[in-house]
Amino acid sequence: MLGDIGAFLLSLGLSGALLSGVSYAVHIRRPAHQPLLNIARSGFYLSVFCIMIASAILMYLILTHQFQYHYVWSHSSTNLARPFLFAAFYSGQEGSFLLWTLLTALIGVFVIGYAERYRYESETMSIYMIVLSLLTLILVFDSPFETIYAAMADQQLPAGFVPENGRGLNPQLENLWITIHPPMLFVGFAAMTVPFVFAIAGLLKKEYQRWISIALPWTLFASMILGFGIMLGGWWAYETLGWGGYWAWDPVENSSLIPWLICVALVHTMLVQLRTSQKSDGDEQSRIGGLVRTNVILAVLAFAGILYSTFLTRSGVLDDTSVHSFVAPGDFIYSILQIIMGVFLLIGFGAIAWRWKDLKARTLAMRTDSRENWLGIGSALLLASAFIVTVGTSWPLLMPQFGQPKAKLDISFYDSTHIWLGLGILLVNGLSVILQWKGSDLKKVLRSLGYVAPVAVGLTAVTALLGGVSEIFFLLLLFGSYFALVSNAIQGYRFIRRNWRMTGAYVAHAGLAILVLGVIATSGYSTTEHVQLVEGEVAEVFGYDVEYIGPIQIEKEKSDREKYQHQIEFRRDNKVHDIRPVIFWTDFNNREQSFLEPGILYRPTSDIYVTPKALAPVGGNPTVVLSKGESAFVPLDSTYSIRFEKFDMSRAASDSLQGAVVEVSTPDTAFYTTVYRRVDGRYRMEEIGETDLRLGFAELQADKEDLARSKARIAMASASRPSPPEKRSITVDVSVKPFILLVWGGVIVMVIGFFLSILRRRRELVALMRRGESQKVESNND
Amino acid sequence: MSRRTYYMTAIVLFVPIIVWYAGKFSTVPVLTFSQAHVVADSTGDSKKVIVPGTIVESKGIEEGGSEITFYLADATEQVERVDYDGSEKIDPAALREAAGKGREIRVAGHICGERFHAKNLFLE
Repeated sequence: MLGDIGAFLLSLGLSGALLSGVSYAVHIRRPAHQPLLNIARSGFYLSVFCIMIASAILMYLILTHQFQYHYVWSHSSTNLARPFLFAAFYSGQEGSFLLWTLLTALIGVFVIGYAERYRYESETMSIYMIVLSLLTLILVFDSPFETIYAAMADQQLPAGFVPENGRGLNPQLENLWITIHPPMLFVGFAAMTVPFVFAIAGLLKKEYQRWISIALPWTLFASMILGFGIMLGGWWAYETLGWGGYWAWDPVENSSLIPWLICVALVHTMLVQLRTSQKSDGDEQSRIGGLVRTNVILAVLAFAGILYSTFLTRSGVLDDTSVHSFVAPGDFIYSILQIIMGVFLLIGFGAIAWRWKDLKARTLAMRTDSRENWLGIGSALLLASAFIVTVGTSWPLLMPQFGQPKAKLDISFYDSTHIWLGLGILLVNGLSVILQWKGSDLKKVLRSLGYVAPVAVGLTAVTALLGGVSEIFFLLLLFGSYFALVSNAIQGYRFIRRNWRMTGAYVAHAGLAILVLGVIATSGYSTTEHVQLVEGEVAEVFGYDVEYIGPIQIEKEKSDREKYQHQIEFRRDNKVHDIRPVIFWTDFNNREQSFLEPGILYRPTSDIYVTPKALAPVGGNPTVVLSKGESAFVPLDSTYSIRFEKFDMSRAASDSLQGAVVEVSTPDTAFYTTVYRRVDGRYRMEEIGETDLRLGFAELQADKEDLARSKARIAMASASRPSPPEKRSITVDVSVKPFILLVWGGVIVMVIGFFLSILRRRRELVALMRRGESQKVESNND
Repeated sequence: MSRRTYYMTAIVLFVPIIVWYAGKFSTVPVLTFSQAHVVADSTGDSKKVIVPGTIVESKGIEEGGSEITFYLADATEQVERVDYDGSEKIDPAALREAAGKGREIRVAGHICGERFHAKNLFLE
């Protein structure tokens, strides 16, 4: 019943959005027709109301465990804690679209008032309602309110069937950051609509300069929120996924980064247009600043980037190339997302083409030594980065066109290109704030560089000496970061005493420099040791006495999982640190594969990061690791030796057994034998002919770069003497990640910078509009 | 040349260079089943690989929902079951024809326990 109401409300919401959009579009042609405007507004608020209530219904269905609904059954369970029940709302495809639609509707409430204030309401909201309509249309056809017996009709479940429990949430999403990270990203996605609609409205109204001032605070807001959301995603990956880092150039990560890069480039090109505008009393056309075409194109591209990202991650086209494809693909979504992309590219570029001849800057060409010129170059570098990430992320789509299988690019593609792009962006970042708008006095520039550059060189040298940095590209990046940091710190300090709101750009730029310093430290100077820790035995790792205390079962009350924290003590200087990586199995994947979560010791200068790799008992039998052709004496009897000949996979398919062919040499003879292990890692000791020896194929250590160099771990035992007792052991990667705090801190500083810039631009806009109004009043009075 | 010409030239050069450069980082190894098993060892590595081979006609080709199952003999004559469920629709008749003629095909995907889970299928 409630589900039916929810589905009806979504359809009603779609009707309201369509009514509103059409009414606003007609109102553009008939601006004096107040009833039309009232209908448009009513349609919008009806749509917002319906979407809000539909969202509340879905939340209620999840919180009250109404598993007769397929979405609720698929993404939640009675075992889930309250915060994760909220996360279940958007953990699936339909719910994430509903969250995006809800946030777009709610942001629309602010946009409608904002646009009305600046006499942009009909133009912006007509486009905005197309966005809202198409998002709601997806939900009408791909509804989160479908019952389980309708969704799984092929299984012929009886009508009214209610499962006892749901499948639950993907266990990797049971992390507190997941309650913040996706909503933050979707606020960013929704906010990115605003610059787009204002750009199109500007084209419709032929106000190629004014829309920039109006849309700039929203563009800054979208950059701030999306950037913060991306960082939270990195933090979640760092804490949960155990891949050892915060950024892996995964398609899902990249798909948020692409629109963010375009949006940040847009912020800078908008500033160029603002600052190069002629501040005369002439009309709008005579005041247009530089990069006028670039700005409308980027506003369209930033929004298209959001849609393309959604297409990449929600349509299933990258289904087997991402480490975290949370959402199942669907033919309908694939088609509708293509249609939506087509519609908005057509609207955006159609409007640009329509006004192309009109879109001309009326200003003089930019001087090479002007700040606006270097902001343009900085934007070009950001766009180059966005293009590279787009090519890399889209690669799996391109390959089948050339008869090749879908495969994602190696991450060294991104690293190798971004080292140089990053350096360029940092140098432009530092230099641009030294230069003056519309042209600089060379003496002043040289004077500024005269103290910024030596300080940056000095800091680079000190860091290189203390941190042992010797690679040339890291040294260059270090210099670039310090150059940008010092330059922005000095310029920001000058402004902070005059007007703190003016410091936004400097703070954001400094944040980027701090972020890159953190990336250099963690990417280049993290050190990792691969160790096997045996219960009750102390190993020395990075100067710590490390001891594996043992497993502690947690979340025992949850029958769908078997979850263990593995307590590891790190001792040094009478201080004991307890780090607990987690290994668990859940019904979510039928316990086919374990989930691994790192244990982290957070410290100001470096984190100790422990990634669990495997659990395997030790003791028992001695083992030896051999490459092909390599031999070793048997420790139990040194008159025996074994030589690893080759792998034998002939029984892999039929019996799930991997074999190792071993030559056994005794004082009298030599012969070949094959020992086996199961593909799941289990093996048993096998007696070897007439000897007192038993052998087992304990581990296959695959070398992914060169398979011929893969190794075999062979376990040995005496057939007549008992083996020593087994002990628990855990194999872990222990990493020291220096200055990772700079990564998080850099992004937070950048976010603060964006926030300050929003305050400043908002004030400037209000002042500008007041001036405009008073000028109009004066001219009317004249 | 004007500044605009410089920018246009840079863009025209930049795009193909990046695409060419990206191509250097895209490789899916061509292996035998035996080698593919080594890659997909017990650590659960799911690296994508290509296995060329011929369909074993005598074992048949089965259709079930969106999945096609058949048996493939690789270059070393090792035979494994292949389950294909990629996004591109494959006509089983084309597979039967390839099997009948003993023509080599290529499957791209991952070793998954005792079977090969193919996401791409190339009928050359």
